[in-house]
Amino acid sequence: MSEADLAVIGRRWQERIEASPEYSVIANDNVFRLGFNQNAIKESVYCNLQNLLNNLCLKYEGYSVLEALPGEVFENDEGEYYKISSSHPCVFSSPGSHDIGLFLRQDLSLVRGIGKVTSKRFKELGCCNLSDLVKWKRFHKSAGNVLDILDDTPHSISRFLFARKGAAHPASLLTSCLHHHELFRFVDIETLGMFGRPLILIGLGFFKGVTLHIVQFLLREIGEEAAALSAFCDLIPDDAIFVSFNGKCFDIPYISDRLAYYGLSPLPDILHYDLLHPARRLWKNDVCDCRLTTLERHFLNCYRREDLPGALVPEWYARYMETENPGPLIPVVEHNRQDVLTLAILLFRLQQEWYERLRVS
Amino acid sequence: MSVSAFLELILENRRFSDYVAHIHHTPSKQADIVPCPESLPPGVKRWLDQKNIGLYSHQAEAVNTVFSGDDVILCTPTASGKTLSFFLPFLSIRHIDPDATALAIYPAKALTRDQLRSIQDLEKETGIRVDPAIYDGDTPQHDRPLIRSQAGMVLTNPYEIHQILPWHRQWSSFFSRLRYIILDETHQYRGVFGSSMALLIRRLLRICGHYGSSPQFFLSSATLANPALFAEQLCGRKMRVIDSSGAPAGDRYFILYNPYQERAVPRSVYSESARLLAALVDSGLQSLCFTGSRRMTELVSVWTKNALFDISPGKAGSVAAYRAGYLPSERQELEKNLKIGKIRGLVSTNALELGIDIGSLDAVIMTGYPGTMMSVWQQAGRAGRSTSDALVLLIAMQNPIDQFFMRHPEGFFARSHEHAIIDIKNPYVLSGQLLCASSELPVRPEEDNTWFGDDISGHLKSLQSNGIVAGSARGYIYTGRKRASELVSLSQISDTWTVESGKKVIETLSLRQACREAHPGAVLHHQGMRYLIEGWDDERHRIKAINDDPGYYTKVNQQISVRILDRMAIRKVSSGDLVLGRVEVSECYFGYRKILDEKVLSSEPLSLNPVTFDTISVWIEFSPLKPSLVSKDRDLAGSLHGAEHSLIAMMPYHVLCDRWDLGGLSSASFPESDGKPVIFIYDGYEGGIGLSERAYKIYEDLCRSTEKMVHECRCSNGCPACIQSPKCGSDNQPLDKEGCIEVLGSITVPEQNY
Repeated sequence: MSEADLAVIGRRWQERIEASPEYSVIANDNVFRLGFNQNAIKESVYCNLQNLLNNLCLKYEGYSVLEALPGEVFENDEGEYYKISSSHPCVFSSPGSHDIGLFLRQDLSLVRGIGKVTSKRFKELGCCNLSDLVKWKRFHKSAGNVLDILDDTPHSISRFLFARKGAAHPASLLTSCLHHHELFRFVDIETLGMFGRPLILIGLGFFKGVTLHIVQFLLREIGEEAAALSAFCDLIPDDAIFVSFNGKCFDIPYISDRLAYYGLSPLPDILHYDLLHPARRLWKNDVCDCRLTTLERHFLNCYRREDLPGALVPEWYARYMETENPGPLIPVVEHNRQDVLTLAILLFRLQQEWYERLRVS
Repeated sequence: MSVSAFLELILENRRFSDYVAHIHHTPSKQADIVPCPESLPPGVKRWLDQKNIGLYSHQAEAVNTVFSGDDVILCTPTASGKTLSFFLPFLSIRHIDPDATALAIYPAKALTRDQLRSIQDLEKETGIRVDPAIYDGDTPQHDRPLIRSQAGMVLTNPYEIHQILPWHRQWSSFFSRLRYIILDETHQYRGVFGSSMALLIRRLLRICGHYGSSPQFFLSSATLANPALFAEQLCGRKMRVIDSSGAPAGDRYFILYNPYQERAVPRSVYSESARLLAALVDSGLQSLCFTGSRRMTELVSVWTKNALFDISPGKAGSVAAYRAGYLPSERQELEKNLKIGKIRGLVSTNALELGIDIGSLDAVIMTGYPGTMMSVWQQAGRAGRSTSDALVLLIAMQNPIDQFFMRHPEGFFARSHEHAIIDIKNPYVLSGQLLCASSELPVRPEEDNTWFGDDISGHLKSLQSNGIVAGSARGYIYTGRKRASELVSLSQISDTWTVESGKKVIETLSLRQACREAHPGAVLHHQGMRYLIEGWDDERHRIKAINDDPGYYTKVNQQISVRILDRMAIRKVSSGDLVLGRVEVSECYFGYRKILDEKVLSSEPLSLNPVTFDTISVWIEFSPLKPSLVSKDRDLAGSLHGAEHSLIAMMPYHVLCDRWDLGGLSSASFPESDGKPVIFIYDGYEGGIGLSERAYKIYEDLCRSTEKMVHECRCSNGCPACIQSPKCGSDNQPLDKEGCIEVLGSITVPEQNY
């Protein structure tokens, strides 16, 4: 077939994609129609964003990525990749591991066969913690086993709680206080879709002392994805712990799928604290949705000036690919950095809140 | 009453015997039982011994072939023990490698349900576990992870494979252990769908290769003319063909029954079917009647019941209808009742032609030639328990092919099976499947040409320039803004339009179907209801309909133009040049007629954009050197037009297709061929589906049988049984039957006669 014929076929797919956009713009900001659309954007917001996009493109006309978003080019086995680094002093405090240890030892329901009712009855009988329970013949062995685990490493304790209570349970979240904070890997990614397309940015935060370092692997072109994924994996040792917001359902499986796409080694099976569920349980009655930006505004005292809805990221990245103007990438990178930073703040806030609540009850 | 007694009954009664065109007798056949193959695991041998099950020769051959590492395509009749044929080799594989997995792909969901039961029964009987499970759109989310990690055999359909391939990470364990792929009813995978399927299989194999496995194939199919070539095209591997059945068979009587028989009162095809079915049921013979449509299935079952009420009312309750569209539970109930003999007469669409296990029956009635010899034998195969006699009746319709068969029974029974055509180079299919592949693993033209062929670079570049894939050192990476498996559908490559009445979706159509049947102003029939089409929403591809019956029906006026793009091959025939090439077809729908009782009430204008597509065509350019193509008193345009219609009508006789898969155009003076008279026949699908290529090779045979058919038709000026076409856009005007015969004759007459 001639090139012209092939071009016609290629264009047909493009036309078909354009016939069903990923989001819809709601005319006149009609709030009644917002609810029905999964990816709806108010017309006023959309106009502001279009202005922003045009301004950014004007401002960064002729810039390279290196100039607009300063970072460094590295190379690994998979090729070149681009890394943007920043550091953020971060004051935080967690409940102490000793306190958490005591708290866990008071939780009789960690023993298989003991639920809310039994636990209450034992407490009325003066059996207040696991050490007391061991003296009961029936639970001697099982309570002893739990106590052994609680004396084991933080990793074992966390895995035990995840298995016994479920990873989304607030008590499971509290085991995060037992770990050294430098093990945490705060992860957030930006992608070209919900599934099966390249990711374009991986944001990764980790502590060195009281400083949160954020590295962002930005794809200057799609061909850098494998190298960026590989560089990301290099920063995840086997004892590291993921912290994410909805990362159990989205970010981590997405990264795993992309690793599989390139035939790269899978991620190690490490602990993962997904903050979505503990946050939702805590605040669901106080806010209309549980998006990270909403929580920031209401509970964490941060406010983003202009934020880019995720649904627009593919379109803005496509604009960058077409024009090589890095302008559209500026808010994407900024948004991602803020997300990673918020993750760290949110973790410590949730630890505090849930510790207070569970201790009282 | 026995089959032979019933046969006598019919032949003695002139009400029926007048219409019998031919009776074909196939003598009974002994079972060919062979010793149990050595390669079977001891547990299986023990079980076969204990149950005293002897293997038919083809089953043993299948076991040995798979054991020796070869791929198999099995083409044996219905009810020849296919399940055991593919299941036993897998037990041998599992015996050596207990972790080995198998993937069984069926063209329809109903078949997986049916097969799962059979496999579970075999598991129970042999005591060897393979942990089979169905994985398709109906599998609950919470069951899926366990099936992926635990199942030894997954039963599914092509649509599901298309969906799960991008999720291969979750299937990595299953795919890395995959040793055996079963493809059942593979003759379904032909034409455009088959081409998509062949590329889907290559996507699957590419993923398997990625996880280090290279599974063996076991294909089953209805009998085909080209099983070896077909299997190789479908799966990309050379396969051993096993086509001689060792299963026993009783005497078989095949009756060709013609309601339009010469010198007899013409009868209606469907009422004859109902009468014969009633007679069969009344005689105690369990029977199945196939009809061509859902509506006729319902009607024939009602008429059969009514006929039975007159002769033996007690039996009217044992007749039922079966078709797609019934609830699965309802269908299973019917299948069960048929199997246990509670239902004595069932009227069905071709839904039952697929290998659903309903046991075997005494008699089968086919209402009209089902379109392919493959279907004939599939449907006929439903009759005949292993040793008792069987009766098959083909009741002819008034169309050219059916009537041709009635006049040439010897040709009918000697006919070879169809060629199943697959074209993995179809650019539209290939482009879409490459796009999907690039979302599963990067596509590297220099390596992946082993799967997708050598022409993929151009396609990938075209996808890249449209921003759908991105090039990289690792290959082409999918970046389209929609999920690839949603963007590309497996069964159709053109856009779909949806007809809606209020909020209810009535049906989906391709653009060309929509132009023909659901243009603004059209009266659309659906499930016995009539809808008036109000208008089109071009942007959303929606067609608005209201439930209204204006009394008349509508017929669209269509004008076709053809532009020649490329002549790929040319050869001489006696009256000119036969050309195979690429053409651009424009179908312009410029108006429609409102018709009541075959009278045109009015003609209405229509303004739709012409539908344009590229396809493959075979055309003949008649030589201008010949004094004249037809005699002086004949109309050239009408002769060519008639020849075009009748050639298209006879195409399904030679090439596996339906006349609706083809289009045609004739002209007494075609400008692009220097004003020569021409007849075009083209594939009615974008990119072509290989029909014209076949026709190019057998054009003389096609002309010979077409000439014979037209010549033998009893009508004087052309009728629906010869040169009239049901889909003619110019209302079968002009037509010239005598001239048509002359034109067809000129193509096949040996050169020296001129």
